[in-house]
Amino acid sequence: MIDLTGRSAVVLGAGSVIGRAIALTVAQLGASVAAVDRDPLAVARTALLVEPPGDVRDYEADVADAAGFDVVRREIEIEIGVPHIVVEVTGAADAVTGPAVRAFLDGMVRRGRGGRIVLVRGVGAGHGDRDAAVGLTTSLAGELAGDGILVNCVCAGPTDTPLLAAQPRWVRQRLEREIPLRRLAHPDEIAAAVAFFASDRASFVTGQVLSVSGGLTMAR
Amino acid sequence: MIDLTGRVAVVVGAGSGIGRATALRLAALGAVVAAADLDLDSAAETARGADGVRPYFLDVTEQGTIDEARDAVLRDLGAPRIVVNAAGWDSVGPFLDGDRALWEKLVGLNLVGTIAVVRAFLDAMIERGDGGRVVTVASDAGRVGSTGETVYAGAKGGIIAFSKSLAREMARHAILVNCVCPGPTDTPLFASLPERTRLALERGIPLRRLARPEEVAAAIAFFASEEASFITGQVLSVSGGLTMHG
Repeated sequence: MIDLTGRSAVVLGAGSVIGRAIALTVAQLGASVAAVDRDPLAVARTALLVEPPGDVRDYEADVADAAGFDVVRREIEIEIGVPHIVVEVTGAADAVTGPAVRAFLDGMVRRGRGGRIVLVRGVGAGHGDRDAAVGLTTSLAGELAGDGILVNCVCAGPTDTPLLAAQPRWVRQRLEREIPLRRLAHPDEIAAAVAFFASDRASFVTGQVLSVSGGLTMAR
Repeated sequence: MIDLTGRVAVVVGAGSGIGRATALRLAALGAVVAAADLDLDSAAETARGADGVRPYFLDVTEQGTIDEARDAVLRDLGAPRIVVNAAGWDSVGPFLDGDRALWEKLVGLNLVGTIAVVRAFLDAMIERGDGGRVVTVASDAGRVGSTGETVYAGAKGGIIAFSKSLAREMARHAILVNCVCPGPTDTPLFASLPERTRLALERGIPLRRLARPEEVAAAIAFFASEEASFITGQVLSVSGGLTMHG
């Protein structure tokens, strides 16, 4: 039912497990995807995993290098066009972090046909991830509403990733006990929420933060 | 992507507005839908809008009618996988002008009505044992308050807290419970508000328009779908940015 055919999407942090699931899901729904990560091998693997006729191209970029990032941004805009959808995944070890979204906004605003920003964060209370995400999401949503660009955030609960698998067994067991659904998220379940926000189905949703956490967090 | 083929869904308040849009959307996604409403004629009209939708009479303020509709749905369609309560009612005016009869009607219909509808179907869902979805409809008024809707906001805030708590209790049964908060939506309920109030509400929406009932229904359908398999106890506003947060 969700159809992103003809859309172009940039996934920042697409070398991470969650970013990879998002890039592949969005591509499977018909979008042309620029998968960006500072880890060239990780993001190349993302592009390799796409099933035809999905279109995922990999780009190596580090947002800490502003000039270098801008070159990649222009390359992406030439190859798949100014994005309709920008997804920024942070929190994973390999993710591009920081204001990478900012780089794509000028083109989206200038084109004047709106768009979608989806921030993907962790739910971790300890590092204030979620609070920061709420602040950024709501501020951006307020500023960009006039341009028809909707901004939402998906907060991922503990997810079944290699990062977690590498932890001692008791870490995983404790997490599973704390989660009302008694299991970890699958990366595709995070990607599904991102796809919803990116789709026409969410045409009146902006400034919202949705936790995909099996009930671990039920903020406000 | 979202496919509800063969799922049985109950939508209460399906005679108009968000409830009608939800019944039609779930049916379009393949669900078999019990469209229940206080106004059986309007429920029947909803049912004529799509294949696989059957009308039922249900008044959320009358427990007997809830039980009867529940029994009829279980007999006709079997245990539902999806239960949505979209029945709601508001009367806008200064809090100081309201009386106990009005408060009890607002809380009884919006909050107790939601509780009673959801409660009625849980046993059958639990007994079948393969989980399910409950989607409640609250309001942005229940998240941030709303002048002239003070008791309504209290009832809707109650729906939010009820949904989260129920999500915790039902997690062991794999029944996921989430809540959609519409902002001002182009429905008969909104049209009944004074013009001054309607204009003020529209101006306050960053996207500068009302929600269409279909846009709220899309969020409900998302929560009802397999796509939302790890989401429970969450609240999503479909309000054009009127209230932000999650």
